[in-house]
Amino acid sequence: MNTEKLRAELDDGGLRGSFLVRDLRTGYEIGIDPDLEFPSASLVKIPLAAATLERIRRGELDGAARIDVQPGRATAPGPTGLTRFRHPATVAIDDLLYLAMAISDETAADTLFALTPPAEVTRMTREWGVSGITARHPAADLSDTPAERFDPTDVHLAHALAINAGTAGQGHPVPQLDVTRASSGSARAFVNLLEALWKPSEVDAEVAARVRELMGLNLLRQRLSPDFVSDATRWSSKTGTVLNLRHEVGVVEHADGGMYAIAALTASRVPAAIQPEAEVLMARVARALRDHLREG
Amino acid sequence: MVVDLIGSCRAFVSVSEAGTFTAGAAIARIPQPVASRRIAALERHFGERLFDRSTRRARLTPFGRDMLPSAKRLVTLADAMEHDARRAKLRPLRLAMPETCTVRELAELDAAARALDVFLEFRQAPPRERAELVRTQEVRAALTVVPAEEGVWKVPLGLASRGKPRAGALYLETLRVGRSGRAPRRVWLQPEDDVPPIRDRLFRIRDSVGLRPAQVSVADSLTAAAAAAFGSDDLLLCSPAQAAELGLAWQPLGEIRLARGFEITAGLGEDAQRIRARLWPDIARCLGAEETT
Repeated sequence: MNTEKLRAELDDGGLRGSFLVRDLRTGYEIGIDPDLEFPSASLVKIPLAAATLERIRRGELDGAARIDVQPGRATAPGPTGLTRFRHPATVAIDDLLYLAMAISDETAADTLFALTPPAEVTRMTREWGVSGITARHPAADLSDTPAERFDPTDVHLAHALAINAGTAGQGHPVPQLDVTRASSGSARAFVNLLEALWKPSEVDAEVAARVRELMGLNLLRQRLSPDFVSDATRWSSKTGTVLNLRHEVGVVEHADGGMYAIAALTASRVPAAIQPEAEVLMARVARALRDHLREG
Repeated sequence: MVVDLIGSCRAFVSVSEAGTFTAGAAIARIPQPVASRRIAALERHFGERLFDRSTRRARLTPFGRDMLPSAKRLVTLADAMEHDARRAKLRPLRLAMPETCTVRELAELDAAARALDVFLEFRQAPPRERAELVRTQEVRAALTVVPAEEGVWKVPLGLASRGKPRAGALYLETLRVGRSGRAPRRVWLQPEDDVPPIRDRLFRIRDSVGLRPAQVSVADSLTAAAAAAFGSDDLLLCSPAQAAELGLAWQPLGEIRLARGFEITAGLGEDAQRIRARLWPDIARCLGAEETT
């Protein structure tokens, strides 16, 4: 397949991306710059969930343990769940997992990071034989960027800054966009993680099944989902968004047994906060790559 | 008393050549008493006689003979200067104009200016180059770009496309591709509109209504932009006059009222004022500008 056309289409749409689709039955794969590293934003919640569940399995944590959570009281657009709560709540670890995965709740994720710090999450993914995924900071940092400091009418200025201020070696003055300071990973690293969760691997089967179930409950379905869901398929995924970065990684399972891991990580050069066309384009490209693999 | 040195020398040279005051005055095309008065004034100025008046003929004195060559030089030089001044006044005023003006529009402006004794010579160039041409003094004046609100001339902009003319405005937001998968319709900017007040505002709207970046872009030339509008459903950002010229249907933009703004920039402030005052309506017609400011 000639991926040049897709690359040109991404460029026309203002996107730079790292895409990888792998047939989990055969191992065949196709991608566009699959080794390009990106700040992973909320994608890091997948290894966080896996690590937490592993510790519950070992008995180090109790999934039913109730934890007092301070409300996030966020008012800016974006944050969800406990991060928007106005009053303290008591939530069990199992339910924090659900909130962190289904609605990408940052306060829920950070409550889990307080139990299993980012460095520990990174160490555990390495133990499972998945390299290239690094957790580095709490999730709250993802909604503490220059974008939150501008008035909604001026938020495009924060994006213009995000787009144009990058430094050599994928550094960035905004720490959330700097691959050496933010939690990071490439499309290949995340597809490897998905493969470890969907196929027998170092990850405990029970733990993997729970992570798969949580990813299936993902409510954020505006990005890749519309191009993959139907009555004949199951789409399980996690999205990640910060400033001009839009990611989604997931697995599509067909009724006929077909199973494809898909990772789409992108950076936009369009200085706008809401970019429906970028979401559409990401899905189109991911779909084109998947269709090519499926057709053989 | 201040002596009219050049007028006196002219009389002096004429009389010396003609040999009499009467004939000399006729050559210099002045009445004889004036010639006599001027020569007398010159003699008073030098304190010495130029002509011997004791005979009927005007004969040069030795002092007069000595002064004659330099008087002749002065007269020749004065004539040359007059000639240069006449020629300089006829030299055309070089004016940098947008590339969007057609031959016909420029010729009409030229003709209108001639009727006002202003001789224009045009140099067509893209916006940034026009400002530069004034700085390097390659032209005396240029029509330069300013935000439309500040413009002396305002040219409304809209979108032109093939097909039937439609009433109402065209919203950029309607060009969104969505999940349709159809080929994106594009808006092409001509090089004249590749300036911050127009390009950046349009790009901002493009980004805020969710078009893809490539859906509003700057073409290499007006021809290329027009070709895209002829050969596809693409749109050309242009003035109503340009659309009419190209045989395309024109609609205003829905999201924003966009216009080109022009101002006269000249090396000499006086040139700018003169052009603005005398040629305003003719330049407006040439640009396809709105007739009211």
